[in-house]
Amino acid sequence: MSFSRLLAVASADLRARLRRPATLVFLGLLLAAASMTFPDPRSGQGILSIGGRRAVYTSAALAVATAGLLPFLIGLFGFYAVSNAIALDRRSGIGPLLGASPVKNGEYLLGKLLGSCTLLFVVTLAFSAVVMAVQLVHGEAPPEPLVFLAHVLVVALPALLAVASFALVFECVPFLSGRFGDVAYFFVWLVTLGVPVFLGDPDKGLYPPQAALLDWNGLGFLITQIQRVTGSGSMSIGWGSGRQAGAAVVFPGFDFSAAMLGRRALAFLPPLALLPVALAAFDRFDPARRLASASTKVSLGARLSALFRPVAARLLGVVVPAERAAKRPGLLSAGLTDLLVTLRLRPILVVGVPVAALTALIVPAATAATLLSAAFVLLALLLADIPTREERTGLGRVLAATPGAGGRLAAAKLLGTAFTALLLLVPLGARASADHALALPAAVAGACFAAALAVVLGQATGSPKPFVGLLLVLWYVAGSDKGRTPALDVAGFGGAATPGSVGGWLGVAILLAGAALLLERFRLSRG
Amino acid sequence: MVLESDGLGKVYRSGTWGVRELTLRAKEGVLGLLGPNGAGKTTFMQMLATLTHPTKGALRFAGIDVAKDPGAIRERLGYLPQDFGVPPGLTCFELLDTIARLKGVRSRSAVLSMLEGVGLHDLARRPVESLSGGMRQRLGIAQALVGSPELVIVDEPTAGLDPEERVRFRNLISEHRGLKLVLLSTHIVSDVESVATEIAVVRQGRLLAFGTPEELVAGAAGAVWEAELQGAELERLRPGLTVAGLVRSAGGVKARLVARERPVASAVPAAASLEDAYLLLMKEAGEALPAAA
Repeated sequence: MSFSRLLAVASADLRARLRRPATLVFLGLLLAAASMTFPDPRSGQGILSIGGRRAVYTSAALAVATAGLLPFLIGLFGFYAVSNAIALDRRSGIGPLLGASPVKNGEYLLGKLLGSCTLLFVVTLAFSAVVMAVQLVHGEAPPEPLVFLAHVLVVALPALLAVASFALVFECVPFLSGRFGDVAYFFVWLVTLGVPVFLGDPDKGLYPPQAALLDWNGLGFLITQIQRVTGSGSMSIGWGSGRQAGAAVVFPGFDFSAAMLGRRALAFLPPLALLPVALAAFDRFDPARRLASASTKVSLGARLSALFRPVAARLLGVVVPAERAAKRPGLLSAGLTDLLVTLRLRPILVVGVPVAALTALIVPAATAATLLSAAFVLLALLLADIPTREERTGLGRVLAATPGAGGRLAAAKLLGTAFTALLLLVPLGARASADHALALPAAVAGACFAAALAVVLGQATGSPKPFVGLLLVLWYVAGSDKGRTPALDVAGFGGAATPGSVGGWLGVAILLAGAALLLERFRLSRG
Repeated sequence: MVLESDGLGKVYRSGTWGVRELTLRAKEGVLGLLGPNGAGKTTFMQMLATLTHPTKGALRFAGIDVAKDPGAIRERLGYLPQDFGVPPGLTCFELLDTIARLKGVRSRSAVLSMLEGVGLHDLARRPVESLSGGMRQRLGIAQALVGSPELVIVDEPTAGLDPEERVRFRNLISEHRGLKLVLLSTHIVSDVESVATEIAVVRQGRLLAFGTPEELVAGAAGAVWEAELQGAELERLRPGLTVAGLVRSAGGVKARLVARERPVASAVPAAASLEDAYLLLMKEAGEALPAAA
């Protein structure tokens, strides 16, 4: 094992990532969110409540609140930020150079792991710095940077390692390396969030080794610690926490005993156990193995595509006119062409959409709402690649040179993506409207929103992953809300949509679409 | 012999053979690899570069079995793939420094001097994604040569280079010390002709011919002709001819033709070049050649 080679891989990875627009957008959004997440305590609102009472803004309390956000920040979004370390080398073309270099597979993968961990560490530190600055501004207690960092890092470090390890495994295992893996990770994350709490009982201070072992997100650890040092297992983190409470409480900080640290250290073990899986599955940029994994023998997506392609081609042959008079294509035509490309690339859609529409006709309206929810998750799989596929395959410049394309590729992409989303959601929304009149408009609004989000994030970051992460979080939040908050009923599957919520989501969609158009104009103006 | 390939074969999972039964032995120097698209040149290079495993046969460099000890090959290797890309976000220096470190070179001056060697010294701090195609290719050549490799594999290294840069590349290759073998694949026959000490011509994954440039050219002696033809006459005869070159002249077209027998009555013998020899080999192997090469 050569540490020099390992560090060379890690430092190149980190430098390249820190200079990527996607990383800068991610960091910028994150820091803006951090500065807005912590309200002014003089307003009576807080970020952390313990036993129903607001916690004073001490470094320990703010650190715990920060740590409470880490399962989302690092555990979920962190994955989508770092799960392209090997893909970037493959896409840029430097992969074969690395494969032919003396670097060993273990050195390369550990270098990538170190690069990802460092990036997530930088993100955690930047987030922490903003929160400490908030403490300086709102000043309920003097800042104690070491206390702050100790509280944050004891939660964050296993999470960093776990996310970087999962990202590596998902990249190396062929069937997990695409959009299916991105969606699958979301459910892995959901499960690993809940399992430690299930295995122990943190609310009562019970945190057995098996719970600690699987608690790399640190949520169980956090609740257990709060219970142990305050005697209360009731904790909430978020804007307005403790608003209704009486006197504020001072959070005394974690008990940093050797036993506590030892229990927390157990969470490092499962991520380390994942690394041999990555090592075994890594193809070292072997073109033959890569070709094989893209073939029908390995990839589920490719297998399904091969299965449905003949039927899809026949169906499309019926629907799409074989010959048309040659003329300069309009925007609508460009959007429909984009939809056609999507259907040809994903022939399962050509069969699946009519099947979904027929299903919508025969199932009860309540079931249609459930299917609508499932279809919304599918949008994460289907829409994510549409806005970036041309740039990623080098076709972007070719399309930009087609007649009338200048300055309206984003608009065509918005239309094409929205058509795809509408195909999937509208039949189910229409059926669900038998129970809830606004289900159809809500489905339309949700489809437009998802399409605009996919396009603007794809344009801003060049990666489909941020869209997958954000859409799934939104779906999870909306689903967990069970229709209690109409504003969260993004596509009508909660049965709670109101004219206001439908208008609101359409408005957001229009704003996002506007941002996508502005972004394209900005890029064109810069040449 | 520094490079030995015995019955080498590579079959992909789709059942397609990239290389079939390739047997050759090359001495120290520059080995040029010529062949049409899909001949197996890149697959052969990828096997020697340890990127993919042979399905059958053996491949040895300096006595080291490539399949059994890929690590030892990688310690001696410089590789420039056909589609050399650059990871955005790094500067020229950072990219070259990273590759150098992976090869065990930690000297900043060695990296800078390599950049100087390819004429990119002034652009050391420039982001790689902002380089022109020719500059990228020069950076690719630099990374292949950094670390004093014994074996350099370059796949289409002069693609995108202007004539001056091509000359610079040839000089770099010939002046680089410590090199035992350069394996060079290109479609530009003149590049191979000027630097290669031996040439392997491959087709459909098999070796078609092997020898020094002079030997290959000698094989085409008496099979190259020049003829002055009228445009209409050329069009009429074209399907039956292998045309190596056409130059318009006042009286019509001066055609350079490759054939064992005199192809047209007016044809006069001409001195063969490597390109003629290559075309003759392909013609005799049954390769469908364009009417005018």
